[in-house]
Amino acid sequence: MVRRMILVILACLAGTIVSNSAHAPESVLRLWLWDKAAPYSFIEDSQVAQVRGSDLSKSRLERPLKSILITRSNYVPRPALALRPVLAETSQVATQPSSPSERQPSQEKVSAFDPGKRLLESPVKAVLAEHNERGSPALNQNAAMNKPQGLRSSLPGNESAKTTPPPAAPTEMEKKGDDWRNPPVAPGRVRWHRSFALACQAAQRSGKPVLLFQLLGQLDEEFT
Amino acid sequence: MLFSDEKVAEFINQNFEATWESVRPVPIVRIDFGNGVTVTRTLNGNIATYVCLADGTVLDILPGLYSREAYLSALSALLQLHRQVLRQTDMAAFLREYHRQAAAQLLAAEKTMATTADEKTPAPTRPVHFASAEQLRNWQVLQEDARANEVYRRAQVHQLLATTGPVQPKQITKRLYRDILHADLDDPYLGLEPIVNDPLRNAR
Repeated sequence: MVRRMILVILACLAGTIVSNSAHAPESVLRLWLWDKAAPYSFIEDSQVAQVRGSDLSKSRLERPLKSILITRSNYVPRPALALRPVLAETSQVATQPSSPSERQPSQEKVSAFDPGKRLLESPVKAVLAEHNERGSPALNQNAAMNKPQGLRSSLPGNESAKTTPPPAAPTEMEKKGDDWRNPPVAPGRVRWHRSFALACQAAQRSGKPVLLFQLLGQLDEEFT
Repeated sequence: MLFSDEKVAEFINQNFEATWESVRPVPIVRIDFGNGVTVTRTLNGNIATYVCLADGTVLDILPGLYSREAYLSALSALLQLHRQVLRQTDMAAFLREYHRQAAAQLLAAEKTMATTADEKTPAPTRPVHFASAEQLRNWQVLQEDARANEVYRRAQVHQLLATTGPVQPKQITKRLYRDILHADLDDPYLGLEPIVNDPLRNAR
């Protein structure tokens, strides 16, 4: 009788440990019981049912077991005031690539054994959402780098994009190409009338012939 | 350059009422070598000097570029022509006969020049540099081109004016540039379109 009581207690204890971490199926519990009790007696299905049915002290056993597991995993429960470091870590993760290969081991450990994950996630999400609405420089900078150039200025809070300098001024050669003008030169030492008609009028007065010089281009420009 | 010459300018100012006009813009080629060096040149163009009466009637035309001496000599001859025309009662008939005889004389001189064509100076294959304007004036290639203008093109001008009779400059400008000076003013490419737009056309 005493042995059975001890076995039942051990079974409850072991079932709590296994089920707490991995929700072990009933067959695992059966094998564990058989391994421990085989030298003494055969375990019936009714005994298994009795073990599970008598698991009334689960909540009482879980608390010390949780404390043991937390101690072994070197996990230190964070107080409520430790939200800021967690927020910093979460922000960093959000702005970095989060592929499994790039995650740090410490981050895996925290997420696996963090009993207050949900408790922390809600306020963190709320804070991040508010932070993004106001415009986090770091987050928006990353977003801007992935956007096409033309969309950068439309991102809120992206002051660097608004102050982006204009395209470089055209070089001297480009200016010459666009604004090149035929350099003006003196049209020789001849006294030129402004038009053929004026020259004819002057010829009627002076009796001299008219000299009309025709050319492609302008005589008062360098390239003619 | 010719009108910057003091002797030429003085002669023109004393004996003519001078004016100049552009028949069209000159095509300009600019080559940017990309290292700050840019070369600018005119691609094609030509000039003509008309000597006219006070009413604008064309007496004669000097086509193309002339050397200073040839230019002064031709202008002196045209001054004498002007004086002769003013004394004529039938100015149109006189001008036709003048141009007909001048064309015949030049065509005869053209045959003489053709026999010595083998002695013509070949076109330069390397860039030519001149230290002064005087060197450019005495450049043999330029002088030969001036002689060609005086003989070949001048003969064509005389033939043209002999057929047209007394005309105003604007009446024969396009014919002069198209048929004698080889620069068609109505062609936006001045006859260079096959070369400018498709340089490889002749190589195919």
